[in-house]
Amino acid sequence: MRTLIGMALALLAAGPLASQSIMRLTYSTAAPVGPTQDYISEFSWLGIMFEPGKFVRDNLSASLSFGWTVLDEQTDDPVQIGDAAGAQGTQFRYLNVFPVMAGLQLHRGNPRGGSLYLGLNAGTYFIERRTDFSVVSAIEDNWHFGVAPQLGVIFPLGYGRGHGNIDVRYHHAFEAGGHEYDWVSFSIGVAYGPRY
Amino acid sequence: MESRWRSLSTAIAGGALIAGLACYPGEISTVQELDLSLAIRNPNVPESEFQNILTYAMPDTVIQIYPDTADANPPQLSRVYDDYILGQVESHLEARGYQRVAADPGNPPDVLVLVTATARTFTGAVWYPGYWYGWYWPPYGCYYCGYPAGGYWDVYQWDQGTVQIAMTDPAAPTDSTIQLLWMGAVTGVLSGVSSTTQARLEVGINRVFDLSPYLRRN
Repeated sequence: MRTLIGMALALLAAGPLASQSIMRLTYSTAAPVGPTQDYISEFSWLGIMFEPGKFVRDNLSASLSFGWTVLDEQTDDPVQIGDAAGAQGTQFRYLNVFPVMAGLQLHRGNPRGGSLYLGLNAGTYFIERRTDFSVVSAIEDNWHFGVAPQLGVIFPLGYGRGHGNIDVRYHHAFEAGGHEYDWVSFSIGVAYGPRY
Repeated sequence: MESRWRSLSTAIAGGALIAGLACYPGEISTVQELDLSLAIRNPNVPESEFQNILTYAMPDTVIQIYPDTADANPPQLSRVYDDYILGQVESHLEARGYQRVAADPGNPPDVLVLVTATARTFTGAVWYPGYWYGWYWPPYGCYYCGYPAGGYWDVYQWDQGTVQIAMTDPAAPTDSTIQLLWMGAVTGVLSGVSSTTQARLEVGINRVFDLSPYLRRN
């Protein structure tokens, strides 16, 4: 226990990174999981994340997250309408996801520069759920509360304050409008700010 | 060094945005992607009732319908696919255990199956008050009776070229409407004749029956 407390204090201790800003810009892909797969099961290659932040301790950063992810799928699956009717045709299904979240990241520095971090984000997702069926579109817009634990690495690229960034995040959007969603994002991009 | 970094970051951001906007997925690229098959069972008719059906009668033409009775030049759809459509419907019903019989008022079948096509877009009607005596029973000739919109189900706008397959009770109605037992539709498929029309009809009619597993002789 004493060791764990010591490690925690060490992680939270102020150091040369404290008060430095950090800004991350990443290209994001996403894999739907859980209930999201009932609607869309295809892997998404379309997403972007922008995350300005600041080191509040040497090993602790706070950030805001803004982004856009599009999950989509084309399917011919039949649809049951009530007890007595059914329809089948080409459907285009979309989820346009716009996260607005705040997060904290705990960093473990690498002696050669960069860091490995573990974080937790919380906030909201604005999700547009759209189904195009023949000439008919069904659109539902909802704000969801959500959480997104994350694991990532910032690694040096030899550009001074500029670094590479890889981030994996599990997103859970709590139920709103009768729908809840889960997906895992895989992001790669750049991080600018900290001078390790 | 820092300026190179900013250039790299700007390029990544710009590239991602341009790629995102350019690659927004799912645009309709073929007319087939607009085809929609529907199957509707009258909610008042239990699924088990279709197991008791044995015989049906079906006219040997596709009835073309439109909403405007005052139209001096009623629109017409191509009749190139009439035989194909009727053959597909007969094939499916036979596979479900139903037997086609000749229309005989003295010995009526269990149900009538009417295949229609919408010659002009209109809203509402899925069956057509007034044609019953004028068309099906002799004299067999009123293809353009101009059935007005309205009826028991006000469920849909029927696009031009929509093929509808209706199963009705052969007993003469006591009022101006005929109650359907079941109907299927393939929307818009006859609106233009092309090399893909027959394949679209086949897929659409197959789906109508796939959506209606309860249509089966016990």
